[in-house]
Amino acid sequence: MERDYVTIKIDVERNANGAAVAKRLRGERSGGIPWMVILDADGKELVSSDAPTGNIGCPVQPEEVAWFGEMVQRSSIRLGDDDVAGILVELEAYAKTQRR
Amino acid sequence: MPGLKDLAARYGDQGLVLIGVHTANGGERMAAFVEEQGIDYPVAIDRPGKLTVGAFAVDSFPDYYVVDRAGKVRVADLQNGALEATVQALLAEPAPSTLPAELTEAAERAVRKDKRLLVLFGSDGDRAAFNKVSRLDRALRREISNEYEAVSAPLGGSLAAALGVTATEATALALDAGGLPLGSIAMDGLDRERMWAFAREHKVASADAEVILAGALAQATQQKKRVLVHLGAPW
Repeated sequence: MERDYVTIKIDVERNANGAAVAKRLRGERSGGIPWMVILDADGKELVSSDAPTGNIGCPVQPEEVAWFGEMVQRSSIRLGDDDVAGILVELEAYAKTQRR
Repeated sequence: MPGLKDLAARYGDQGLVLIGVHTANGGERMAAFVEEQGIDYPVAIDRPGKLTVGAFAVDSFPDYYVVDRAGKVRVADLQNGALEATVQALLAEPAPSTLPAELTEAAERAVRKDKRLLVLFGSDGDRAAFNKVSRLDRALRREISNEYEAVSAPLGGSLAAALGVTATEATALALDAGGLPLGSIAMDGLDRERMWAFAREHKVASADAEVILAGALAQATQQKKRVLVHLGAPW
């Protein structure tokens, strides 16, 4: 992921201006948190964690993991299909531990 | 170079140690250059064969590698625009220390969640009184929960001894996630106002989300990357 992404975490409650930044990025969209968005370097949204079925939150279920893969596919610059597949394998391994 | 000298000057007293590494190619002119530029931090010359450049996988110049207080390389392949924010973030982390065993688990959570530790020394009744005050104020209860990992311990026990707490009355002690004591307050007669003041005084300084985002976008521009924003909350 680090090859293509600068990853940041914003806590809407603890970070100063966290709620304001969240509001600006997310607008009126709902669906709870965590919520993710991928921006280009100009700050333009490319894709978010809002799948057609709603916010995937922390991707745990197979369809959520798949949407995270879609997010990476839609926004990556250098990562190839094999790289994305490798990321999803790692994510799936983690997700399995979180499923009930 | 002026930017680096300025960085070293501004953060040196907080613990920043800057070490330059010059490539072996042209290294014979490095000493004169350092003197000419008035560079006052150490500058080394790489070994022939690009040993250092190769070991760190340096792919551009200048390239920055930032090591935390524990000696671990935390950020690699960093470029100019993101350097200062990274230095600030790592300097804000607690220095490593030897933690009493009773604090290990809470400290791990505190590090992971960027919180502080709050040790309540006293009896069950003392702690109940403390919790009763915070329960009267929902925002205060949330502030303490968001900002502190709480641990209970008896007065005069091994944890009190390890932390140098000699008080004979119930005491709340705030520590950083590395176990460094920050301040304490007597729990007897503690009211909401004083509890608020204590909680605010010792919590982790809140980073500004606007600054975090702006820094990430600047880094993404320089490194031709995207920004993945994760919006979360303490709960």
